[in-house]
Amino acid sequence: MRALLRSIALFAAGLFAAVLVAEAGLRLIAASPAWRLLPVAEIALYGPDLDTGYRHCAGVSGLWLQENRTRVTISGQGLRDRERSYARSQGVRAVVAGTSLIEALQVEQPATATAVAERLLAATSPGAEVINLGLAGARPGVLAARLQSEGLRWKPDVAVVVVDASALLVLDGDDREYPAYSIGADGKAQLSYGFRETRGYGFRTSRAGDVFYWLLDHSRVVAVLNSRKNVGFLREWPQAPAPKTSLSRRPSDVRAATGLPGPAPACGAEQVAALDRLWRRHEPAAMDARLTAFLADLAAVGMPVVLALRDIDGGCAAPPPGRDALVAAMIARLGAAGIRFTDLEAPMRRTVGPNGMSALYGFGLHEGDGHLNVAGNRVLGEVLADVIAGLFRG
Amino acid sequence: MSYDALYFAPFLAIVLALFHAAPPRVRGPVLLVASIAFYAVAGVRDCLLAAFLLVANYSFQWLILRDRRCLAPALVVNFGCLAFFKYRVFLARSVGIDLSAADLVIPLGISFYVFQLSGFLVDLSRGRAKPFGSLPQFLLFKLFFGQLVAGPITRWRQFGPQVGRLFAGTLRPPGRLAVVGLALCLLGLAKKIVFADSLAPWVDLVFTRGPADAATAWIGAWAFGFQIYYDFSGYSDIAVGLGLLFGIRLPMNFRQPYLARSPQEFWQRWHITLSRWIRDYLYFPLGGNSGGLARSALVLLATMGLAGLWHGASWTFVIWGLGWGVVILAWRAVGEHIAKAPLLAWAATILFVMVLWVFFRAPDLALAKAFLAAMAGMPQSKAGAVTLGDGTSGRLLLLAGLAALMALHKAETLLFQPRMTRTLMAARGPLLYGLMTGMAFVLLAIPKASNEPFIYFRF
Repeated sequence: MRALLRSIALFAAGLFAAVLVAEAGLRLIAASPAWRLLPVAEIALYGPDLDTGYRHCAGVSGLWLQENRTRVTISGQGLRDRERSYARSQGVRAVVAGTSLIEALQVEQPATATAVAERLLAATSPGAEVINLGLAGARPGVLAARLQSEGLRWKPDVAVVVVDASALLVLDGDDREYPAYSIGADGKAQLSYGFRETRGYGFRTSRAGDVFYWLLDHSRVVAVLNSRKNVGFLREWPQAPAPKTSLSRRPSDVRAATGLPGPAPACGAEQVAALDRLWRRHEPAAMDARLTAFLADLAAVGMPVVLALRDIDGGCAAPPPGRDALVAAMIARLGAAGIRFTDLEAPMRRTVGPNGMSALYGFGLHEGDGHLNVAGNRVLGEVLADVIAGLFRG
Repeated sequence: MSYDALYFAPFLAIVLALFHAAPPRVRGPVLLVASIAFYAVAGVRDCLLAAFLLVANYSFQWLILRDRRCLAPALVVNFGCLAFFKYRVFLARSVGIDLSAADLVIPLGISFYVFQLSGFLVDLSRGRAKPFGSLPQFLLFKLFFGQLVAGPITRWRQFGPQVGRLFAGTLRPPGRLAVVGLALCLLGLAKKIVFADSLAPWVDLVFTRGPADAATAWIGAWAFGFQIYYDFSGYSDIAVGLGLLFGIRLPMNFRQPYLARSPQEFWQRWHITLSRWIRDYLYFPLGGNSGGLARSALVLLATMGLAGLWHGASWTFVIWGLGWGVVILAWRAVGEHIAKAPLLAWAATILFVMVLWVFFRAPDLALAKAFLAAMAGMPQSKAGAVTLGDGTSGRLLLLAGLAALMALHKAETLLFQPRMTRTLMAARGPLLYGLMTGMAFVLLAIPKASNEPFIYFRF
């Protein structure tokens, strides 16, 4: 019995030694030029947040591995941004809220669209600041909550909210992970924060959660295990390939893909039609109620807000019929809510040409698919700078 | 199922536990059931084909014992299946018929088990092998999951008697060899996960979009050379290691091939079991070195061309094989002089290896040609062509990395010295087992950017 216990103890000691060796190995690789090639631990970026459900953990830095390996640092204020002070400088200050498109973890911070916009604006307007509030996976509810909480903390002059138009077609009330717009008994929608009552959130905000996040931040092996948990322990099990979703612009043709009878509609026509139903005819009612609430929340922040929409037509090279009328309806409805509108993609397309958009996305073999690359961030940054400058000119 | 998948670890742990807990005479069936479960993940079609060929070959052995003339039809069945499932689209396209709409995925491991089964039947007909007394033993001879999918291609004399002893309950337990087995598994995982999978995206990039300059072309070729080495030798190390964990000794398949100082020596160090199979069952029966210069040259070229074709149904593989034939022939003429300067011999050999790898990796002849032109300093301008390394410092870093790969390759010889084996055996114990198990688990836990199967699984 003693011999067995001794063996078990020695085996456990061996396992612990393995963790130490792996820890040393991963740190050595991360500190060397080999970080671009060899296995490393991916930074764990996100932690719980009372207002948005999740946000970046302040002060963490490490390596981002997906799509393109980059060194990422989260500022002391918990933003994917350079260090800056809440105190205002002389120049104009804009905040840009958005999804992973704005967060742009795939490029170094100085190459992000907001950093590019800031440099361009500062050239003509010294002290100008463009603050990156981008957060991966941020649905409209999260964007509104983020603007109301983190955005206002910066006392900006203007706010730009970048949203995928298609995301407004799937507004739902599921608040189990982040704020969402639920419909009340009176048929009106408002932000709800059901995630605060979930066990997962409870764990993440508990002492045990603190220990977990501390381990994630300080142990490469724990970070590897966490990454593995996120992709799935059975990831290598043979399965049918999942349909690709990406932020790149690919012309869509749903009817042709589904084999429905009748002639195939023009590229993007189905999405434009669905958006038209929502923005002009206010259908379906529940979705329209959520959209109204979202716009009201944006307008209520008390500063000029620009809703910068992308993906209005699914990225088609030629605009489908009805697009112009849809945009006019969007401008009108947003104007009535006190919000300005900009179509993000039209100026990008004018810069690179209708067939040049795919070169702005993706890295390496996956160029054309994925997030904006360095060139894409530069073009988006130029557009953002124009949008922000236009607000002050106008 | 793949050795570098996280779910393989609990599978192996359960099989090991059942194997060692079972009475000795039951261990053979335990291992057989586990091997069938391992292969079953490949799918029903692959299992049915393997089952058909295994039962057919088991029956053939009795027919061949009665009449050696039954060997020919048996080989026709084996190679006929291989030709149908792996080569029919290629062969049809070569005569102008397009069958790509009916293209099938190649059944897992078919190239390996057809060669192993055919080799066994040939050995049987020549009196160099004994028949298997029972179908389960025969099944385990081929299906043992340690070498099922991508070799080593074992001969009867290497594995058959061990299977017999396993089923008789007289196979010696692994004992001290278990620690060597675990160490080999760990080494193989490190080669595959740390090196091969890391090089893969860069190699894919260069070989898909083409190199924009000579440096990128050479870096790409070198990187592929090491990707395929670490991938396949890593698999082979794991295969041999798994065998040792069950008390089974499988032949080694690699012996630091990039240290070779001649093309012949390269093939004595690279995929050793395939090289010997080609030599014994193809080259020698066709005449080998006999019959004059021209005849032996033709035999060599035919053999190497077929060896290339074994790797894949494409002209690029055939040219890769023929290229090796030409290199070996040329070396026969001038190698004696080159061998007087060992460093020159090594440099020339590694040059041939890396240049010929271009044909192996390129998706088609057009890109192979463009790649070679780039290597020769004549890159063809192509939209999207890739440049590896930003500026001088980037290129220097890459060169340092490539040199480090070769240095690691040389250092690997130390791991296979007898004193390393003796050191491992002497240090074996729960602490060392815990250390190696923990490290293997961390390697398996590393999320992969994409599911890169072992390269030779595709053959």
